[in-house]
Amino acid sequence: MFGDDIFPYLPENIKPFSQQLKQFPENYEKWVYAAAYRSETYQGDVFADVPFVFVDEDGDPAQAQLAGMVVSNTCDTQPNQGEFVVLAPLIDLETYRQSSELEGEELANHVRAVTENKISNLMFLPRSETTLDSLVDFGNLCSVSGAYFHQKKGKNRIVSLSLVGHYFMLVKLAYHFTRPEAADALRDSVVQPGGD
Amino acid sequence: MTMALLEQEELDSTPTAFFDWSIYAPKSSAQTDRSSPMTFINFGPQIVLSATEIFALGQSVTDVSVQDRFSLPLVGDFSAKNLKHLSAIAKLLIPELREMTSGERRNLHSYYKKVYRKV
Repeated sequence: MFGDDIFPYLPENIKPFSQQLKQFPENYEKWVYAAAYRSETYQGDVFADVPFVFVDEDGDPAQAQLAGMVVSNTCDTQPNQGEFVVLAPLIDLETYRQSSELEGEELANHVRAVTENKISNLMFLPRSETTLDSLVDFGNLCSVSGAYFHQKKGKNRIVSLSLVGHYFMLVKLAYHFTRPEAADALRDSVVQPGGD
Repeated sequence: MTMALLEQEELDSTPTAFFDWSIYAPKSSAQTDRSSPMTFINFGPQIVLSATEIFALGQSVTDVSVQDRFSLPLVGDFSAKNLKHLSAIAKLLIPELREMTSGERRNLHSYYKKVYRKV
């Protein structure tokens, strides 16, 4: 569409990484993670052992203890800033594959789409020194008390995104939440009259 | 006079505002007094600026150097930091980016059923 030149469309701090981005998904694993952690929590950091909860089809809360990626803005994840920290669950790809109800070619195609980051709500995270191949689901976010998070996070951080890795996360996150609505989504164009 | 090619993708709706069309100004290979054709690509809903706001940025579509000067305010940090623009970048980086199929969705739901427990 834009040929091979996305350079003009990248923010200044990401332009030095345009070549890596153009080659995506090749060498993704070489640039997505930061080499070192900073002491602060950053958007995109992954923590082990996070309590995740969602309301199931019966209206009951369901819980799991999983690794989770911080989706909240970095500012909101600092102590005494945000009331809650929003996280997305991390799913181990091999476990996901083994428990899959898809089979054969269908499963192979699905896993390929996941690992090439072609599915909008799923961000693939390749194996690192501290993690296995995993996927993050932006479609199942969970908020955790900021006080609890900061009390428990301790040494639970297992991976942090690089500058360009974080940009890639933002790109996927933005697409997932702002993609055009389906053509049959008939939203009323008449606005409600304002109040006083 | 600038030649502009309008190319609409995702034909769910016709853009109604000028900025519904994103601007793609290809590299010019010709050294002439005419600017290259520009391609306007619709990514779907975008930031909506009025024509007045666009032209307040100092642009003129009859200016021969328009593509250079368009590129600064519209596709620099101003746009790149915008959610919609990030969303457009996603489709550039991953042209086959798509939603889950119903089968994939059922599969993920099934996984969660195995991993999560009722409280």
